[in-house]
Amino acid sequence: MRRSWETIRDLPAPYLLATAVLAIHLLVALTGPLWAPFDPVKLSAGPPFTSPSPDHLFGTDNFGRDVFSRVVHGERVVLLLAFSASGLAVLVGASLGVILAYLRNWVDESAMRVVDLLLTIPPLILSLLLLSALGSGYVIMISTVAFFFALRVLTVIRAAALNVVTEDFVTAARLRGESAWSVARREVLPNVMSTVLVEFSLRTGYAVLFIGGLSFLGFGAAPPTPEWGLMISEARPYVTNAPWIVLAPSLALASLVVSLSLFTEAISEALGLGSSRVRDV
Amino acid sequence: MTEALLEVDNIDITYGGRSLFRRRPALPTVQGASLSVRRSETVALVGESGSGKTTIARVVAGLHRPSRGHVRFEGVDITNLVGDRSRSLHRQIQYVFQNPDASLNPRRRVSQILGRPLEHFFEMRGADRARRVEELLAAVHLPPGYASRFPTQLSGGERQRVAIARALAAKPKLIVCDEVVSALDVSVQANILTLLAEVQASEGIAYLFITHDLAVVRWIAHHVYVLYLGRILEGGTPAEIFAPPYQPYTAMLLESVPEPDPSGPLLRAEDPTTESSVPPQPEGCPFTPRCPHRLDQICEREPPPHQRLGDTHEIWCQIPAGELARRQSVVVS
Repeated sequence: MRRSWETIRDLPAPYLLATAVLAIHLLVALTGPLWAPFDPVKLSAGPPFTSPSPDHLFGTDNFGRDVFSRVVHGERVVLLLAFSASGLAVLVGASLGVILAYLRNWVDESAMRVVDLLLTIPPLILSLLLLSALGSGYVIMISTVAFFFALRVLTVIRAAALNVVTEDFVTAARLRGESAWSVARREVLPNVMSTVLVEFSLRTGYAVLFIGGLSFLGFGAAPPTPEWGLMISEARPYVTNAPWIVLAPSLALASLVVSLSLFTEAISEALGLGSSRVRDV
Repeated sequence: MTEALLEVDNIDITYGGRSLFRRRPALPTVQGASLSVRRSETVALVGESGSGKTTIARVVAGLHRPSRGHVRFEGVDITNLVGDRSRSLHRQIQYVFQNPDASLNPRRRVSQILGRPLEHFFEMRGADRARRVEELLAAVHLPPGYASRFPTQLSGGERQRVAIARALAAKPKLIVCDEVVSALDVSVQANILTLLAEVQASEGIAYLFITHDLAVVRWIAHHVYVLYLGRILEGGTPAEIFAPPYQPYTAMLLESVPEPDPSGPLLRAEDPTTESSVPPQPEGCPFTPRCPHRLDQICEREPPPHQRLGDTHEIWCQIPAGELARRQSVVVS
């Protein structure tokens, strides 16, 4: 662990900067609501369309709500949704990936062909279809996103685990008569843990973007939630007159996604896994 | 003591075959192999790479099913895969691998590596388990402090000791040792072999010892089987194997051992250029193309017949043992 930390410390400046930006995002998510100057849903916190000023750092929107407070409160919503989706995806994807790699039998072969098939479906289109059919609650949205991400996590973790399951220590566990679950958990999983961590970080970045996109299209968070994708969508009509209403959540979203992506890159290198950029989206 | 602990009875082993998405030709790797291991005895299986010695070990361990023949342990048929075996059988047959770098999980501490079989087989936990881990470390001459180390913090020889301790944790009756010293330095090899002999003396464990190293065989084995391309060609005590008459392949193996004293007696290779280009028939003796004594018509087509030369010594060859002895007068000392 200490060696990993030292490797992180010696990483190029962009990675360090990204890590710092990400830390700020996390801090805002944790503490933001404690110090945000206004209630995010309070109407007429100031006159509508006030341009940025010391009172309203990012100005106010068409209802006079304080944009800065909304962005700060939104951080928690955005990260919670993204972490739930990527966490669920990694939990399901990694478990199945490790088990399938260990089994390497007809179950694995058949399951992977089904996964290949599902991977050909464009996630956004099917998500929209599912959400419009099932209604757009958070639980359904997170499950849908997690489902599509889990497929991708599964293929990555299975590939990593395939290198481990042929090792003699796995055979030794089999010879002991250990169950597949026990071998997967005790012998295989600890050896693919770094890949799992990188996948979690990577998928969180994609989840932020994906969920933002769903909200922007009206299938995610519901008004008046200060979710950034939704805020951008709602503020579109005023982009020429009051660009700050669009710009503030856009920049927050962009800096979060970019810093997450660079951070993923950084830990991937620190853990000796090479670049994650070559992975699929 | 007459009853065999492990009996391998006339097995054929075939690799390849079909699965849901694959169809490969089946390749025979071992034909008609029989051997037996008695309690507290070391039986060595010698052969070059590709001779099928590890394959036989894997069948004994239950990682492969032979396509013909039976494996019996204490008289009970165990010709099944590891998943179908009982927990007590898992416990009684242990396996030590060639490369301790690969056989110990790099992410688990020595205490966990040794503790897991204790938990799995004897439901030992907590202080009991920790105490037993220390005993096991002591049995393989490692300090108790090693319990908290990771395998990467140990040397190759120390890792192999941990692997042996893991096998001992199960209190087995048989340990399959698959080339356990060939990945180690020569000085470390001797230590490990001494340790194995010591453990055998105190615990009465039998070894099925897979190796390509004749020096090791001579040192540790009570009984030796010589394997060439999937067929056992000679069996006997080391004294019998290392003295004429030799099965022709055994003779060639012994010749290939470098002789430290060039002035000493030397068994000459008859004529290394007589290698036949005719591949043997599947049924024939696999050594035919390289054999200096081959009988062209018979050796290629017929399985080499069994000749019993004594209580323990047996060879498989078309040429009568007396004739072989006459041709091979020189002893490798």
